[in-house]
Amino acid sequence: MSRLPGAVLRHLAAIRAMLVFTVITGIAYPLVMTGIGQAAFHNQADGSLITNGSGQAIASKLLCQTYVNPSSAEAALNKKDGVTGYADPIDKYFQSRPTYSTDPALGRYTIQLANGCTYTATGSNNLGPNNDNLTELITLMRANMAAFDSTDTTTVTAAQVATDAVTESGSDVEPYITPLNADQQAARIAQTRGITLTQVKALIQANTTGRDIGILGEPGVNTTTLNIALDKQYPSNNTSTTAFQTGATS
Amino acid sequence: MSVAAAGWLQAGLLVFALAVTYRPLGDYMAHILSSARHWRVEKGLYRLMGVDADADQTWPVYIRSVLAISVVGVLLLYAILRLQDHLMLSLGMPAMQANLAYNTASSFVTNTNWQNYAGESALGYTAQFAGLAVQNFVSAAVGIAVVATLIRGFTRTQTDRVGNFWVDLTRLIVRLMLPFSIVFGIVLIAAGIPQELASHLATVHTLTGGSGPLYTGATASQEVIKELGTNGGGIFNANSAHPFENPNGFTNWLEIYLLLCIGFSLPRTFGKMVGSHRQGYVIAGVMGVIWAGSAATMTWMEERHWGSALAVAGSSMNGKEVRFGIPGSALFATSTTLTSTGAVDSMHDSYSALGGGTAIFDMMLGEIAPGGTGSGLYGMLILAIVTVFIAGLMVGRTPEYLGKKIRPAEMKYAALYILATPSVALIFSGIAMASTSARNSMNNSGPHGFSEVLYAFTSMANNNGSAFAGLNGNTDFWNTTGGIAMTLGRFLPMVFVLALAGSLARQRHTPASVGTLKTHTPLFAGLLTGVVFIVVGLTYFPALALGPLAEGLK
Repeated sequence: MSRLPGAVLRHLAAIRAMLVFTVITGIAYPLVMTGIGQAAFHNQADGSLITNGSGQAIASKLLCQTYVNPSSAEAALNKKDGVTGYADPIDKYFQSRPTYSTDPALGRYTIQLANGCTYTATGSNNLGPNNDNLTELITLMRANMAAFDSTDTTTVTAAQVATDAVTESGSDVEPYITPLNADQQAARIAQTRGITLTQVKALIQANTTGRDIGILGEPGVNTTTLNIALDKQYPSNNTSTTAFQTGATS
Repeated sequence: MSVAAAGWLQAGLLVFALAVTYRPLGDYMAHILSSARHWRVEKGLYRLMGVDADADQTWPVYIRSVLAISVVGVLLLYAILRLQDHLMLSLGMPAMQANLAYNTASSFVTNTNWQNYAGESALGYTAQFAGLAVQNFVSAAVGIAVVATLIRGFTRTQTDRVGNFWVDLTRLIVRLMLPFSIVFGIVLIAAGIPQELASHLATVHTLTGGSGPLYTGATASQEVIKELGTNGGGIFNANSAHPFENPNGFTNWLEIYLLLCIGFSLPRTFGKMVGSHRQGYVIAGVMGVIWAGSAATMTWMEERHWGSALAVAGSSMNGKEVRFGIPGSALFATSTTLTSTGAVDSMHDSYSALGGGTAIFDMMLGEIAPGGTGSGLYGMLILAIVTVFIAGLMVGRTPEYLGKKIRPAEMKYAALYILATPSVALIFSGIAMASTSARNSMNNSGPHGFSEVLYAFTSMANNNGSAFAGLNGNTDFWNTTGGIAMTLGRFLPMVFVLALAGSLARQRHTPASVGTLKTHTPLFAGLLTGVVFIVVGLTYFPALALGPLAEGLK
């Protein structure tokens, strides 16, 4: 063995080293971590799943869900197939942040709510700070949310709409919205479900997480747990939706 | 509490935590790199590898060992990615196509972790664990091993030996990376990051009657080494913006700490090994000032949200997560681009022009504040040598640093180091802009489109790995040129560092005289900071002017 040239010996050592480290850090390490995680923190390790009465998983509390119905004209498009996801929001649910995706037929970005919260394709629109297409969609989304969140008794103007309600999250699977955004949607929820604003606000409060240890991160309202709580406490058969401008025709 | 106050306290707590661990972590790494005793388990590993743990290597042998394990690493990872469909636990994912597998293998071996694929729809467990995670450990340890040789170049005299690569590598993985990953990985699981194998595709039945698969993955074990080893390759396409990789404000803060802690503690290791803690404080101080300046600048830019689309939105929250907000996002962005991490908790492409420009500038600094594991410190020490040289020119004396003369040979290696990465970044950016097919990958047009290209090659040449992610990198052009850029950007500088280490180690010790520039003073820290900005400014200003500056000052 020692008669071999140094270069050959070195590469043999490198091959053996890679195999050794593959076994240690690539096989043993993740398996040990999985064992520890499953034993000590089962719920977190499994993805913070929320189950219903029959033990069926209905959500991960860390991921958002879409609460939309495709509008009749665009029903065929709403397949979450990664092509287009035009849809209108359901009135009785708190909406998480919007999704701006490309429409290959148009060659530009449009508002495609049904594409949101797709667990197998995460990421944002990556449109730049001076992008005209983005400006157009944000403007449309402001008008959409103002009409959506205004009720018989309250009016939300386009200028008042919370900023996180017109911008896409970085992951597009974030369940959190700002408390301002939740408060703005509260009147619509109360009216649709036929409950009082106070009842809605109490649930918002219960599903709001503050900053960790008071300083880390920002407060957020978890739309996933909030909507589950709403359906549980104040079930509603209302299935009304509101038509949203998508930017596809303008 | 106001957003600003919480943001300041969050950053303050980070600085405090880094300051507290500076000494113990730095001393521990110095111990790892200089102890004469092998652990029993390490002796067993050396036997398995077939290496002589007590043989000191010359610099050419050391760098060839680095290159050997890197070549083997690329080939092994390429094979795993190409053969994924035949491996167990692959979740039915298909084999990766050839040019993408080449790009990914180069990316993870070079500690870059640029990703032209989306993890949740491309890779199963075997490729993530046995392929990518292994390189997360190895490439991080390689960086520290290389800076160890440079430090030994200063401490050793009249020898051609700079250390034993196999010993450095093994100890850094066994004594540092692995135990830290286990401890902090458990913390991350407790804080909400998934870690499971069995129900990886639990079906979720939503309130609106839909159902869909939930890909959770064994995320925590990857997440911790992704940050600790300044790697940055996410399990998910959304990286640390994904709630499974980064569920809350606490994990966001901890991930920032993890990606900074080794880089900021290595100056202590350096100070301890060269026998003067003040030398370490100077380096750490310069790193800290640049980091703080960048964090403040980026946070300010994002809070101000200049830009026509951002003005309509009323904030720069497009591409950012509510649970982190502006302060948590900007702090992460500045830390990830000043190290070679490249993990992102928000989409840099959608940052304001000058906020995103700050991220590009951070990488252009060479990722030295505090930089990637090991690579940050050797980059900073090279700049310290340049600083000593410039100061020596001013007073007309042969420059010295830590008792070693900076002669023409040393300066040549330092100059080559300084030139290598920018050459790769700028030449490839130029080629891309000249190619129609490469430009077609842009997601935005105008100066911002150029910024996407400049960001990409700056990131790859500096082994960062973050992106203006609108750029579609999964094309023949980007996969191929990217792989080449990452390889050159990683190993060219390493060769020059090793050559420099060898050259320094051969010298005898030169006692300090009255004319020697003191390198443990605030004056030197100021000089070094100035040199950092002048060198980088002169190199990159024209390119910056065409991209982020053109967009931001419009």
